[in-house]
Amino acid sequence: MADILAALGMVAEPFSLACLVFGVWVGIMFGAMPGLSVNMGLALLLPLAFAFKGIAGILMLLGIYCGAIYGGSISAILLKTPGTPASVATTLDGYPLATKLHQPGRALGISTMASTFGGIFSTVCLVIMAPLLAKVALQFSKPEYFALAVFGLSIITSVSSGNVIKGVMGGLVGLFLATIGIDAMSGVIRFTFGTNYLLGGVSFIPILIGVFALAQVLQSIEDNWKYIHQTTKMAIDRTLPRLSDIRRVFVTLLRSSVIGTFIGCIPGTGGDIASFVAYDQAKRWSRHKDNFGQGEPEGVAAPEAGNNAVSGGAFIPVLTLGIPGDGATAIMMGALMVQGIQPGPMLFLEKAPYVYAIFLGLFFANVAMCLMGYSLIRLFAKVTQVPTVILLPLILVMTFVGTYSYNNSMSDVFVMVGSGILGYFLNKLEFSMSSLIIGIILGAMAEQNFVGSLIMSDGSLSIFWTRPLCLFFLVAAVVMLLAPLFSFGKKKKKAA
Amino acid sequence: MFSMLVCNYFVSAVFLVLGGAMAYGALEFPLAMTEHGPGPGFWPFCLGGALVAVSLFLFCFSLWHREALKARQVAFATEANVPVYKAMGLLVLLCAAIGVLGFFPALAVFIPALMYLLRCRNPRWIGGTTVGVILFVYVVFGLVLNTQFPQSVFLE
Repeated sequence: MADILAALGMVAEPFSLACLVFGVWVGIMFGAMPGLSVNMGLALLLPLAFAFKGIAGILMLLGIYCGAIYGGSISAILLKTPGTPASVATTLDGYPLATKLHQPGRALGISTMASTFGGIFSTVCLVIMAPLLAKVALQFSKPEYFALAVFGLSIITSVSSGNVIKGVMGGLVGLFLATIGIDAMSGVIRFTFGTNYLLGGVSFIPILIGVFALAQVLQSIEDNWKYIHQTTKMAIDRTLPRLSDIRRVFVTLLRSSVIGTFIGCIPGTGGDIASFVAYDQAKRWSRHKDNFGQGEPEGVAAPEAGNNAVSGGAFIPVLTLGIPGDGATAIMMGALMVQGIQPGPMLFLEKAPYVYAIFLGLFFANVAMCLMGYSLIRLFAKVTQVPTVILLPLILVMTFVGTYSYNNSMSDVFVMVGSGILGYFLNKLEFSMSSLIIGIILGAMAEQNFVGSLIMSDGSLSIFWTRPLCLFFLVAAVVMLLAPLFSFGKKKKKAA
Repeated sequence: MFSMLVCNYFVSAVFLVLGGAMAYGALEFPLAMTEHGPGPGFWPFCLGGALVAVSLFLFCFSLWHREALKARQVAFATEANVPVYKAMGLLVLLCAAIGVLGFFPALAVFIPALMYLLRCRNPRWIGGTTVGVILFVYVVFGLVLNTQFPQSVFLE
């Protein structure tokens, strides 16, 4: 109880709340603008988060995370251009409801209500599930942690949207980058090429900003050249949902939130999968099946509740096991680690107030999202009209400013520019940037626990298959790694 | 335009060399198992070896599916790539200009240049964005967060 009160004290500070609200606001803007992503928003504001002492910076990032998932629905409904991949399913009924049926306010209102419901539902699940799972995870020793890191790395196959083999290659490079600097086990200096800059290891933030923000801006410059962005102005009427709409979509909200939370718990999945599964199930169980695709309110509520419910679910493996489920949670985990908060079961014992502050932060972020959604929706709708010629220079400058201000170092800026340019080409070659980042984040955990396990067993590798939990995670990792190859074989057979 | 097949062969070759270099670099450190566990070179050596193996696998995979990969094109030299390469050049120039001119003067040159590259010809938009962005950075990061931005070499 004392921990909860301490957490409430941290979150309820005016500055912390202001950071949270600011984060939600920025997140919605990033989500609403097509071409900007959740990852980009998190990466860009990460250095700013470090400037704030205590929990305020983390709360700001939580706000961005929640806000951006919701923000994607605004452009999905008004422009038929989803701001984030998680909002693709929302266009199916959101856009017809706004244009064909001339009810953009109703569509946005239902989307706001569903997003808030999904987000709060998953936060409640996180509060209930995370401490239970953490208790189990407390029994883990070094071999289990190593197996867990390998399992976490195996999600590379899921986050590698282009090519799984290249995803694994990116992950291996990320793992190698994590070995640069002073080895924590032996104290030996590795791969620094005699420079002091690399002594403390590869700086994670510049690489993150480079591959997620700068590379994306370069891609947007290319896209901007190819397509002329067309905007349509729509008058937004009443946004508060009617009681009849609430009754109509309530069961769908509940079902989709359960689906979203469950999918969020599984590493390697994400809002895009959750929204499509929720949409599919809503259509299957609906009494208005024939209206789907033509502006059905349930078709708007289902994907939005589903993708926002992922936020709480995705934090369950991050906080309890220290495994990021996707790029966004990898960035969040990196932010926690840089702030000295090491996610994992020990976090619940050593820094319990921080855990509860994260729970409360997620809850308040969803409340702030709801309030902003209903009060400022017309402003956010205007954001979707901002021309890219203004937006792209602003983001490019922010990548420089953010990277520099993190350490006041121009070397970091050079690393960021190098990673961004390399990231642009690697994206074209279907490499997954998330796999590289997950490799860097889990690298130290994997190596230290691997070495620690071998010390425990006097050098015998049998320690990894004689312990049931360790074996379970290793088998699960192998299954995750090989699954795409089987599905590839199946697809080939079908095509033949 | 290059086919994905050619790109995959190139990627395999580059990562094969990179993996080899990682493994070779790891040989500088002890690899053997002692009472303190495996040497500090063991883990990076394994990673280098794994990267070599995966690179070879990508090469074989590409060879096996060469017809399908040949049909897929990767845009590296289209008209739309040109502004990206120019923007990259601007970024490199900006890095150099920050050291010479200082942070804010360099931005004052970079933003209009980038907007011009993005086909913006409206002087009001260019001027407004440049002034707005620089003011925002100066107030938020310079004044509020007290970030010390690099100054011009002429002022030091």
